[in-house]
Amino acid sequence: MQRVAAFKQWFADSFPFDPNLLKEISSEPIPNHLKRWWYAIGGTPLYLFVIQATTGIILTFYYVPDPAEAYNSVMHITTQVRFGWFLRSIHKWSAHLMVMAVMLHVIRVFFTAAYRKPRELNWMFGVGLLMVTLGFGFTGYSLIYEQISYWAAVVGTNVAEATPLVGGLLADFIRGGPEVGDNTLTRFFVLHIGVLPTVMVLLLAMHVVQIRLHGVTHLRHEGEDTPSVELSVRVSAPVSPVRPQGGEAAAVQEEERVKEESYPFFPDHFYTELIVGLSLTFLLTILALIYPAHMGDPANPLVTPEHIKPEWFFYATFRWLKLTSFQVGVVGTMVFLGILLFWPFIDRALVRRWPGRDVSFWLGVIGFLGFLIFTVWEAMV
Amino acid sequence: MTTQSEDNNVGRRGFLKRVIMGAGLILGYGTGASYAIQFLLPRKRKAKFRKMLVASLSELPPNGSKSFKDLSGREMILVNSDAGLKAISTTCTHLGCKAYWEADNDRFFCPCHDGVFDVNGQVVSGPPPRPLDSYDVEVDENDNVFVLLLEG
Repeated sequence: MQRVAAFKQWFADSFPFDPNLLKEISSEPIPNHLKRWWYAIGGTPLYLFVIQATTGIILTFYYVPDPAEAYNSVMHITTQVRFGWFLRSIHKWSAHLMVMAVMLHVIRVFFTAAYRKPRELNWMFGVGLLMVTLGFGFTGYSLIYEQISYWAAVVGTNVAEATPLVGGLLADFIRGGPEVGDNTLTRFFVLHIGVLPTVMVLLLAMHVVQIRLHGVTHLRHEGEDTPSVELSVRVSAPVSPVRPQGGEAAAVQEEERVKEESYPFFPDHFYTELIVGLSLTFLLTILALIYPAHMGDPANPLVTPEHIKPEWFFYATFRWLKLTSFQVGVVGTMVFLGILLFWPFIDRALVRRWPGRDVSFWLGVIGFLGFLIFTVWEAMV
Repeated sequence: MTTQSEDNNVGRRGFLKRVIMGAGLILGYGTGASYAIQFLLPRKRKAKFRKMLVASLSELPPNGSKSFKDLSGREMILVNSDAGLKAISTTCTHLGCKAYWEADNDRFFCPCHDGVFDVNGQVVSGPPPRPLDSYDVEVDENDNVFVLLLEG
């Protein structure tokens, strides 16, 4: 016993961390509406990211990032390595679900206007995370080095090349040359397994820290005059969020209110996330079993296949590029991304110009429906 | 008076120190960053042309065409149109996919974003911003047709 106590003391001295701090950080009061999953869908991509990192690292043990070998190595993983097909399929389906979950999360945050002051910066981190996720998708399916990989890389880097001012440098940097070639696959590989994961972890950390600092947005419905008091707490502050003025009775009342309108992050919300996580794992397994990832024809730089399409999350852009002229197509895509990134400020200007008219809401509906229609349209032809 | 000017002197000295230190830091880190960028950007090579024999004039009646492969094995089309002999690249000028030469329809079709070009490489429909690239053609005294091609 004495040894245990001595070890405990040694550990406390070597790692001087106050366990109460952990308790305080993890007792974030969560507003009751987060018991409904569609308000808590931001946790899903985080869980899927962990799955992606794990399966991705395992797949890297066998993958060879060389234009002559890449396709064969993926084939080897799929047909020879034990459980290779399964891990590859999980990685693929998890990627699809991750893009979908991020998009749903963006839509939820948009239509509950949770990006408004003071959360503008966190919306921008979020849009950054969306772009990194799409970047993962783009570089990821190029690594397989099948026909679709090669031609998606050609089209994607040419879109980048059309960026005003920096396009040429940007495209040269991504491709490692004037056209997609031997250097390109290595660069996509480095982006996919090194650069993007690092950027994503940093952005995720900022995203989560910001949520923690601001607190979860409290829903306010139409007709509610008195804005509900934010349930947020700062990390350094005690759990009770509002310091009531009016003595003991008021303090007790305030504590009661917080208890009634919220529940603690740990363990309650943590359990919810665990259950969601298990359901996701189950869903991924089912998808991997029923629709395992297969392989297309190997990349052939001399022939573009007659029927070619990117992954579904680029369908809308793909359709847009078909419908418009070159400049409008490429610049329009970038303008769309710019609007998305700076939306909180555009929204503020709109509210100021037309107060109480819900212009932002209707623009959001148009934008979302447009994206949906273009996606479905491309999927049907 | 004296105190103030002494203060000023110290302030000036401090300011200069900061400027010099700051400039040194920026120059030092900046040099490092510029080397890193140079490392990441690919080296530019001067384009080199090579003359390649692709056909004999007798194979190309007016409005006739012949397909051949360039130095990287990509399909190109030699056309004898009203404007003279032309070698047309099949790399689509929209976003770089390979357009097909559809001999039946006398047109180039790019499957990526539905770009269509006529026999001279001019845009007929779709999003491409400019005609297909064409290369110079030379004919020697024995009616051999040469194309000046970029080395891959």
